Amino acid sequence: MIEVITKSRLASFSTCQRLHHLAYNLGYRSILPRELAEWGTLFHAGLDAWWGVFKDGDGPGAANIQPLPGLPLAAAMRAMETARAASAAIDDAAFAKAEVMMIAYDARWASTMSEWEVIGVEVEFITTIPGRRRLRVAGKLDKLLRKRSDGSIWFVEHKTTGADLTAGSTYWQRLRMDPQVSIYFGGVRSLGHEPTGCLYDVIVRPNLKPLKATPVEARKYTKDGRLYAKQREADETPEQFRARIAEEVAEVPDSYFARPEVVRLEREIEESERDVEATALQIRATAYAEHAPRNPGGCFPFGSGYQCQFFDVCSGVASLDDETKFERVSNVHQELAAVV
Amino acid sequence: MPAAATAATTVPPKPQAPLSRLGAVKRERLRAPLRYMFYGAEGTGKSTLASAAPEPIWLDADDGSGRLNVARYQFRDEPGGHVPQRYSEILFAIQDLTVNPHPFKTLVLDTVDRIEAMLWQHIIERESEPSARSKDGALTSIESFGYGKGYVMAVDEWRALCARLDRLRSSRGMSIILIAHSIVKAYKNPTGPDYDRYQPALHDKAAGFLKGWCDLTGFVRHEDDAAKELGNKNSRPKGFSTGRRLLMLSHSAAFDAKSRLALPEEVEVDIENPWGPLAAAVEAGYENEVPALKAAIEEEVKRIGDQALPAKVTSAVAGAKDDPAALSRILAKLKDRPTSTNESRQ
Repeated sequence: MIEVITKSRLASFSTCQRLHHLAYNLGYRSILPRELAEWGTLFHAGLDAWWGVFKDGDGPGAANIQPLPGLPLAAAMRAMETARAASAAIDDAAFAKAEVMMIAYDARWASTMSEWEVIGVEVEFITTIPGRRRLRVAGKLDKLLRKRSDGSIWFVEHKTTGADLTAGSTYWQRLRMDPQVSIYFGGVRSLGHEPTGCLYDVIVRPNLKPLKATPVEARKYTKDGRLYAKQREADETPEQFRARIAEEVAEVPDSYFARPEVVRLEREIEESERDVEATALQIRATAYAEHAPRNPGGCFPFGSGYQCQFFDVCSGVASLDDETKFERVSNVHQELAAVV
Repeated sequence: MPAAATAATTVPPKPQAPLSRLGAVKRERLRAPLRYMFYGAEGTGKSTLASAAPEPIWLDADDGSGRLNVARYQFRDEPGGHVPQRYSEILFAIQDLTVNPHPFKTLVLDTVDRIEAMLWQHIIERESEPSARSKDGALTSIESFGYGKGYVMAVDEWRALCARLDRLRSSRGMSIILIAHSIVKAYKNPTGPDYDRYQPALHDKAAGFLKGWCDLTGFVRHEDDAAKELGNKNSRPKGFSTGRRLLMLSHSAAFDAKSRLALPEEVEVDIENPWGPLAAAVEAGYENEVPALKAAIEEEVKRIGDQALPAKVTSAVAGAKDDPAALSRILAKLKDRPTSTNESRQ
């Protein structure tokens, strides 16, 4: 049997063998709304549309024709509206965050786009590891770029996160051995290009929520009859919330957006291949075991802000048979429609 | 006339045999150009050694190659234009050498300690921009980031630089030589008294990273010794130099050195032929690579002590057919295996 390994599959197996078993051996997926995941999906749809406007042709001779200002942003907004219609978990406040962040993203990066030729958007690949005939490594590059000044090839990986992006933080240090970046270097090679590096395009979700009106019984007033400064008569409107996020992001834009270059050295690619190979062998071995152990340490991944989609099943308060909560899919690599 | 009738009367052209490249087939083992780091005190001959490497071109960050008759990259068209003033000029030079044809076979970065200072300045300037991520006060040095974060960021810059150098190696077949000054640093010895040792004059994290990236790190030194006066056992020992200069290639308590090939502990940096002894040692190292790998594999099998292992490894080694890459993979896998305990053997 050919084993297909993706970065998501590797991550799920590394997090918890039960999670991997349910998601990849049995094909279960949670169908409950999950705001953070859906916010990421929605914003990703906007990013695809934004970058798609810059895709202006194929080959090194492609003309450097830049779209009119405003076009990428308009395309992104339309895409996010469409994505929102398909999402149950995105409320007005979450959508307001996405809108503001997309406007800020456009303001931060649009002026740099003349440096790049966008070769592809959502480019799927499937490749092999030397010496492993029954193993395939597959993935999807968010974007594939050529630098106009020197012809070097780069790929883009978008990440929405709540992590600390300050200089020298551990978020950046772990990227030195991030398996996804390593695997995608091989993916770019399988597409016939020699990658120079990855532009790790990080967008931080603002950790703000709409302000609520102070409960009547808790309100305090000054002598001249005004409400205390930190108390509110009414809920914050979506417009007020949007303005507050915009003000926060404009003050420290690089706390919300970063795009460092991540590279891989030759030996790191070889080591990553060995990592993938070893994990694939473990996956194969556990497939024949009678039991996939749970790992409680993986139920609430640190810094992610969400819980595992199967937490209720493992903790005994939900059943995989509950069709209102779980579905079973035939293609466990749904994100890779073209190659798997 | 209908198109179908035209097609029926047209004689299809005779297919031509594709142009053959079979005459150009070569049988040989491909050897990737090596990455070297030579470090040592002033005047020990590091640059002289590098200048004798095949077709070198200098990135003279230190402006210290003046007495050598070597090709220098010109960063700017002005007197002193061979000395880079900014880190971005070094990146541009590497990119230039990567994408454009040229006759050079070796790139010399002289010195990486000077480049480290430029790299730090590059980070400070980048992070001092109005929109930068570091907001806590003015950045005046790499220490300004606090808690050693500046040095962590510098490692990522070194990684990016070395990735570019790797690309240069693979696209142009160039060897890379990093030259560094040495410093004497106290070593806290966990198993005995502390002692001083030589190491590249770089921050520890950068030195560790570059040593790992290079295939060969050598310490260049004068052959010095000390002896008492002849016939006078009570005299104080006096230092003297033999005049020979040596490239030390294996680790010692007194200095850092390493090689991925099976090389001797030292080679001479000969004044007449500085590169020759090292080149000969490297060539012999390649010849000895397969026996050395097989010996290391045998050692690992003994260390692991699993009785079922020797037969499996013998079969795998036979299947490798003296291919160093395949033997290296076998060795790496063995090194990952823990030693068998009596309990696990039962």
